[in-house]
Amino acid sequence: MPLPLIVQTALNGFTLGMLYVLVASGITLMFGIMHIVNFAHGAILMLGAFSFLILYQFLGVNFFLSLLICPVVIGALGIILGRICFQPFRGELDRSFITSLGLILIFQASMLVCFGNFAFALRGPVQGVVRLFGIAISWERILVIVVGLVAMTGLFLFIKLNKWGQAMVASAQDDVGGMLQGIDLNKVAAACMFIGCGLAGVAGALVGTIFSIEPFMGEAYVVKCFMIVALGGLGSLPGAVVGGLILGFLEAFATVLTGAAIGPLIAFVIVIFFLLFRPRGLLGHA
Amino acid sequence: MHKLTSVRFLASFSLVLILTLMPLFTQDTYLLGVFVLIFFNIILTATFRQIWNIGYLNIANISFLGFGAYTSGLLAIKLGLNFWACLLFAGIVTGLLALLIGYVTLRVKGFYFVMMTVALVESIRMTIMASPREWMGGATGLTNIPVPDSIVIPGLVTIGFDSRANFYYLVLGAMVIFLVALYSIESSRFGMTLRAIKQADVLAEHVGINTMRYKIVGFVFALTIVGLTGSLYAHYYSFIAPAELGFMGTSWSIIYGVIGGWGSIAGPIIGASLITALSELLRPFKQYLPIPLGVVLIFMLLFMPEGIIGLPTRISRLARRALKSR
Repeated sequence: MPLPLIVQTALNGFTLGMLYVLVASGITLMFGIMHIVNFAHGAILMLGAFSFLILYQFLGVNFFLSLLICPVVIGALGIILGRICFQPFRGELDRSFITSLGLILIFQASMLVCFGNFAFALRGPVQGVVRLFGIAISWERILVIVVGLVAMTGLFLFIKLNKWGQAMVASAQDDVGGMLQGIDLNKVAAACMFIGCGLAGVAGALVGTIFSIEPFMGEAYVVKCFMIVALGGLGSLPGAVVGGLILGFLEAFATVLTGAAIGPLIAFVIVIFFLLFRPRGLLGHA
Repeated sequence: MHKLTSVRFLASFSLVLILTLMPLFTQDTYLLGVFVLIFFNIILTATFRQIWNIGYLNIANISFLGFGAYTSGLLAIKLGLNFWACLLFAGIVTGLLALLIGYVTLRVKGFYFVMMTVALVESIRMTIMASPREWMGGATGLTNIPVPDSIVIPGLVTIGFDSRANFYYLVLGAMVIFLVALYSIESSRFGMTLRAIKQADVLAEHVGINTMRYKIVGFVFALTIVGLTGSLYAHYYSFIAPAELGFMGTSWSIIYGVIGGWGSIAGPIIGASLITALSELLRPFKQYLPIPLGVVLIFMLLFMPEGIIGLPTRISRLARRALKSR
């Protein structure tokens, strides 16, 4: 491979990886703090994409304003979902998994009813491509990378510096111990659902700008992001970041080397084999 | 207890009798088709339950339907093999694959097993999608899978499978055999051991049970049935495509099972028949149906985890409590 192609592919992989990181960190937060398997996270991403479509395309709200409103809306939805559907199944992986299957049915069918089985495309605020040293990258992809970096930095700062972030870490380590120190688990769970779903909402909006929006778009993401969470180590946020970037790069390079049909598959198979030999993931505990 | 068993036997016997006699009264191909679909769904849900009984949520259940369907379909199309040989090979190939996959994946538990099987289901679907069209049909799938060869007993009868009624009998017979096999396994000593392993596998190991061997045998047994069903499925619809083999395929079995109840094999039967029949009856509203279904699913999980088959005990318990308080 010539050097510009390598850099180009790496940039594409980084964009893809950034999207995966946003989704996977929500899944890993919910797993770590609420001990649930939220398989409906892909459907939540899809809802994020559709709410962005409504705000930006149909209502004509400013692009960046919609990008801010969208995660708040989806995060609020996440709090409600967490309260009704996931809180009762704290610590029960199988039952929360089945609950999220129900949520997938509801979300997909309602979007299908409202919008039909079409693929929508968004036009970003800035069209066009930046060319530098024989590398081309579209403004939309730059936006994905920037927003992803900002969101993830914000999340890490929140967890390190904020009282609520520290409460989340504490209850992830030991929820009874956290309760003894006066942490309200319900509030921590609500915060976790808000952040997790909000990140999925951002990711959904960003996916809309570079790929298309349709009711079944979430399925591919949720499967990949669960692979990432398993790859990085269950419940580990740095693990989700590392895993997401790894899968993004793997997929981009495998696609360039072998074609669009086989590329994602090869990335997948590599991850499965890795998990066979190291089931606790890269940064996970035993 | 003895009385209850005979009631159960009578109920299932009369049900099978009614289903057997049904084609005599109606030749409506649509109706028979709905019943065949119900039978397929029942088998898938019951086999899923068998593995769930060992404590494993096997999302890859639908992939084994794919293994059976593709083995059988490819053999019939490419080699022109007799259907019954295809069926046999579908069972053997699926069984061997189940042995291999079970040997690797049954070592991990809980969430990791779910993840492994989710990865498996998706990578198998993607492999078939990416396969060259001349080999396995690629994304469009295998089409024109021939109908089963007729059974010829020289001088006596010839049973052809061009008619829907005869195919109905074939699938019905297969379902009855499979369900009886699953039921007798479950109530045998082997089934008891499997249940013990689900409840406390470390303890089971300590009393001298080779848990891994039991798990693998249970796994392979259930998935061989799925493979055989896959062969019937492919030849019935004469079509199989990777789009049907995603994780939502297995999710439907889970939904039927949760609504029917996992407590006994009656749960999958009731759940699968009810929901399949309902979605056929409400066909005009098909795209709306998943919304109430999802709501019902979550509601059942929250308030009725025993499912529909748990209703009688629940009602009698409520009645007893009401009587007591009076």
